[in-house]
Amino acid sequence: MAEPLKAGMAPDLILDGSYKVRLTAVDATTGAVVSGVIVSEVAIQATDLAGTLQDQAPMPMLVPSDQPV
Amino acid sequence: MASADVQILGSGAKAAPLDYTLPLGSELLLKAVRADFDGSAAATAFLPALEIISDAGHSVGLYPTDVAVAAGGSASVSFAPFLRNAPSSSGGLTSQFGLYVSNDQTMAAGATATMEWVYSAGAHVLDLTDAFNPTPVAAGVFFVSCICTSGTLGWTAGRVLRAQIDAVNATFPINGVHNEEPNGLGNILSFSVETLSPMTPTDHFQLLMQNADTGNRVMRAGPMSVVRMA
Repeated sequence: MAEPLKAGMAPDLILDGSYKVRLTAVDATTGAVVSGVIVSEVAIQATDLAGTLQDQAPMPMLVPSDQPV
Repeated sequence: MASADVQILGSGAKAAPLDYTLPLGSELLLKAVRADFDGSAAATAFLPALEIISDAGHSVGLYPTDVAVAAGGSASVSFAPFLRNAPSSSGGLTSQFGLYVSNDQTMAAGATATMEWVYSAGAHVLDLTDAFNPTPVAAGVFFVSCICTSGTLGWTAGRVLRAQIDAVNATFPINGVHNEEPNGLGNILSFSVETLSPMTPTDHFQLLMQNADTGNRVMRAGPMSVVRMA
C-alpha cells in the first residue's frame, strides 16, 4: 500500500508557457535521480492566469514532454 | 477572461523524472500537485520530489519530501505550500510505526542464525536492501520489540531458546544482550527481545536466534514492532 506523504513548495509560484513541472525521485544524500521509480496519476491544481486552459473540456490535460501530443 | 482555478491531469506513467511542459501562451499560478511514486523496482531509498524548470532550462526550485521512501516502497505524495511531514525542531515529536516479520529458519542443534526481516505493514521505517541487517530509512530513536518462537514441539527438557536483537551503531551500541527461555515442559517456547537506541541510516539492526536443543528446530521471529521517534 502506498504511503501518504506531504511536501512543501514555495507559495505564489507563477509558471509561464514552456516551463516544466517535473516529478522525480532523488537520493537523500547525493541528490542524484534514483532509478526504478515509476511516476503516475499526476494531478495539478492551478489558477489559469492567462485563461488559455479553461475552455478545454472536460478537463485540461498534459502529456509527458517526451511523448507526442 | 477572468482567472479561474483549473485541474490539469497528467497522463501516462513513466520512470522518474517525468516532465510536463506547459503550453505556449499559458500562465499558471501553481497551487498544488499530487502524484504516485511506485518504487517497486528502486534499489535504494528515495525522496519523491517536485521540481520546476524554467523555459531556459534552469531549475528554479526542488521540493522533496522530508521523509524518505524505502527501497521497494511506494508513496502517494501531495505537494503544496507550507506542507510538511515532520514538525520543526520546536514543534514536538514525530513517531512512525512499522511491522515486520521473519521467514522461518530450520536450524541445527546448537546453531546460531541471523534472521531475515520482511516488511508486513505500516510505515517503511527500515531499508531492507540487506534484509538480514536492516538500516533506518531516516535517523531517529528506535524501539524494536520482537517475538521469538521455537516453532516446533518436543524440545528437550532443560534446553533453552536464545535470542538477541542488536542495535549496531557507533554512539550507543546495544549489542550482545540476549534473553533465553528455559524449557521445562517440552512445549513451544516464546518470548520477546527488545532494544532501544538512537540510530542513523549508516547503522543497522540484527536479530540473532540460537537453537540450544539437541536436534534440528524451526526457529521463528516476528512480528517485529518498530517505532521510530524523531
